[in-house]
Amino acid sequence: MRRTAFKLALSLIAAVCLAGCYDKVDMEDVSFSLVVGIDANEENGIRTFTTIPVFSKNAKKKTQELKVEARTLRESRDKFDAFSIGSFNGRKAQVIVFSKRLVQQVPDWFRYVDVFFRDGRNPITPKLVMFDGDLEQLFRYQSPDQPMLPLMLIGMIESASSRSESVKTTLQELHRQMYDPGQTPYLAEMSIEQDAKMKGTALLDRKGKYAATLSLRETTYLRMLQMTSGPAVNLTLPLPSSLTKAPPDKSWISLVTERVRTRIKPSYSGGRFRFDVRIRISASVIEKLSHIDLDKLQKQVEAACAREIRGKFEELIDKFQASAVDPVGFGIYARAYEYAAFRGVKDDWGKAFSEADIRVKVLVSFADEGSVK
Amino acid sequence: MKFPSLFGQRKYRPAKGRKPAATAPLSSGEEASDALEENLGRIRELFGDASDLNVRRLRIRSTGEEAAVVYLEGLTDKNAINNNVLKPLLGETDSEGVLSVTIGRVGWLTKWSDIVPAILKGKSVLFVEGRAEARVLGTEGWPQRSIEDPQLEASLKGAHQGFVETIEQNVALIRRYLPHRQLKFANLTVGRRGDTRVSIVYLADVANPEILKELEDRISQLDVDVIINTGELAELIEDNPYSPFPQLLVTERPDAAVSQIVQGRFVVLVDRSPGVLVAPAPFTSFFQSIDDYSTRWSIATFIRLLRFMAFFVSIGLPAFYIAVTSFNFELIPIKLLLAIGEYRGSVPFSPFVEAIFMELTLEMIREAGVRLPAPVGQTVGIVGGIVIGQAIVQAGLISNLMVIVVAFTAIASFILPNFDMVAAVRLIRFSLMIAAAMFGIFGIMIGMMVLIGHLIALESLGTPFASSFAPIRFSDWKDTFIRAPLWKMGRRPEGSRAVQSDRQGPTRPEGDGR
Repeated sequence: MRRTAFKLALSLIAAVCLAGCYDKVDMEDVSFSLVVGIDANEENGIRTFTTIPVFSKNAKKKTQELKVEARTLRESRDKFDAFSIGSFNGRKAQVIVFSKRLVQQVPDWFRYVDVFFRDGRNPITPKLVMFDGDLEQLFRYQSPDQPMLPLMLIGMIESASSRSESVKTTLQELHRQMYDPGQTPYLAEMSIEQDAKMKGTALLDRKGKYAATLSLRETTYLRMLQMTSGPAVNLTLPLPSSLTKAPPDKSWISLVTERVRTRIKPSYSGGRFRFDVRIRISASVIEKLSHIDLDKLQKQVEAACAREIRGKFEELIDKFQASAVDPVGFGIYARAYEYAAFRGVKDDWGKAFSEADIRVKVLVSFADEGSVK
Repeated sequence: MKFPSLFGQRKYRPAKGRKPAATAPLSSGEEASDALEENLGRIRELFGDASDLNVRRLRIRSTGEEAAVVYLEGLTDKNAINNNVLKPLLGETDSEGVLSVTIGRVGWLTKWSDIVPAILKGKSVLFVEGRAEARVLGTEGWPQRSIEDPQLEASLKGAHQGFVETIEQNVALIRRYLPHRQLKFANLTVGRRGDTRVSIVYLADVANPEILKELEDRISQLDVDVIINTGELAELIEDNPYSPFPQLLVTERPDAAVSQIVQGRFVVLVDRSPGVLVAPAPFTSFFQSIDDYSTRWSIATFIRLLRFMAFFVSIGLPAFYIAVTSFNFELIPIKLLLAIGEYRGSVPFSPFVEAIFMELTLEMIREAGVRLPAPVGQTVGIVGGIVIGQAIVQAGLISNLMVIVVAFTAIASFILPNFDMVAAVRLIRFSLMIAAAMFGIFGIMIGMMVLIGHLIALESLGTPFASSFAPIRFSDWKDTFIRAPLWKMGRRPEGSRAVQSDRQGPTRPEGDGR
């Protein structure tokens, strides 16, 4: 009897003293940092911005925006805490915005997000955006016909990415791209002109420095090369007037892809990599401005479309090679099939890639020509 | 598992060597005398001034003997006494020398220790001058309820007859379903003063004799004053009385009881109680309802799955709410987080206090509704629904979401068909809430592990309580999560340890003579 009572008391004490209680904090007492903005400042430190939702019925504005100067992200958290109502934490961070200035000018800027990986409580799934402009402008941006900033950013990235017009790079994905010698990183880019808008995709070089920007249109071709384009990518292409018997401004045709299959075949000879890219696109015609008879001239129109698309791919690849970046991950193929050659250029894949011989073949076949003749 | 009482030695100990106190100054061997007056005097002495004792003196017409009929007024059938006892005795009869009465159940008794209990149980006793033995006549007839739809276990398609408080009637209700010679009854009496008749019903060629022996053993060892209700018997004989889970099933439905008997289980009838005990009862049997077998099997399967889901919702939803709002925000999608934050922002209490408050209120409304008479009971619903539900949110005391959580748990618990299991769920819910308030999701996981460990360790009458999951018996799964088509369930469940498991043929007719 006494022994069981002793055991009971002991287990009760153990339960009460168990670690775990210490991190209890009720939701309404937390200031969630939903969007984190990182900009370079003039003193070799960072200027950080954040948006916190305000859980109060009386507050007219539902978010609070803060800006502090700090040397590291963790230090900025302590500074934010002084401003916020609840205890400030980044456990629910949804979007991280880097300024173009940071990505362009600060070498090794990726180290600033180290705290997200090292502290297990922080998420590694926030979506990343590079903002072309002053971050102050973005965080003060409050359009009355838009939801609060975090929801707006999430919505814009999600929808642009699902239409293959931009990319949805998460922090974890960026980490992989940064450390993979066979690929260079990329992330979504946006700017504020009259309204906030997606600009396309920012391409970074091996070191993480900004290299080039792809427009929304170009990004769809990038996504097709990566085989990450979803179904139903829209392509509006001009057909040659000789085929349509119509003036050039009436010769447009719009396709929507059903299925895109990309095959990349690497080889190495004469100190140079060669990639044979073969893209097969099955698409439906959803619009044509000319009176061309698709039943009779299907093969010719398909070939014309393929030529047009191939031109776009070649332009895109030229652009990659000009800035020595490889967002498609040709290097991953090279490493897999031609490892001996790849090992030699591993540390400077960008340069080797810019000298590679890349040949693109495009095959278009129409799956459907629409409901009318 | 033994659990110590926190307040010193207050364990119930079965009486060992303690002598039952004598109920009347009656020595066991004392016999009736042949003098009528002496016997009647002894009766008055033994019964004192019992107001319902009736002694009718008479002279038997055919033989001219002095006699007296003794019985208790309320416990006997007046018609039987007037027409079948007094009328033949007082009128002309052909047979000479025999006390001819037109009663089915009669006998001769000589010992007072037999005569007195017979009178107390509603029999009438005929003493005749010059005879040292008494004629006992089965004239029982006490106030009875008619057979009604069982209230606790309403059924849409099942029979609308429920058990009543008289054991003979209940036996009859079971026999109506199973007119088979192998349907056997083991009769026992329990109680020092109550003399409660307890009857174990089973199919002799199907049910396992070991379990029968265990059941008889446990019941015959009982030493109590009286068993008022089946629930008391269940508590006294179940394997682990400290567990929150009921380990024996109580039902008021004859059809449900019979369905358990043919599965190879035992049904214990208790006189004076409308509930019967089903043993052994595995965990999954608390999720079965008799309607499952009369609705289409696909629908019954869906409802079964719904019940198991409801079990977990009802146990864990408030705890989950506490865990995600106090510890693990990461689990909430961002839009939901913003919505919850909006509600929570204006509430002055922590989620745990909020949840405990609302759950206790719910339990109170529920208890209030059970005990109140029907016309007043409706008021409870209105007060509960409108005042507690809407007004408390408008007053800003409780968040909207908490009210939704509470309503959802309540509805989930209403789906479970067994009242005792619901009671267990209600209790466990609170301990999980405390675990969640201390350790978040981690606490819920620990709580669930302890709970499942406990379920697996439990036994019902020596058979595994978690049967068909632990130990795994795949063939029994046809009637657990799902309810397989009837013609697929050719064998009795292994969990009942039936000695004869072939229940029915494998085929079903497809029409056109095939």
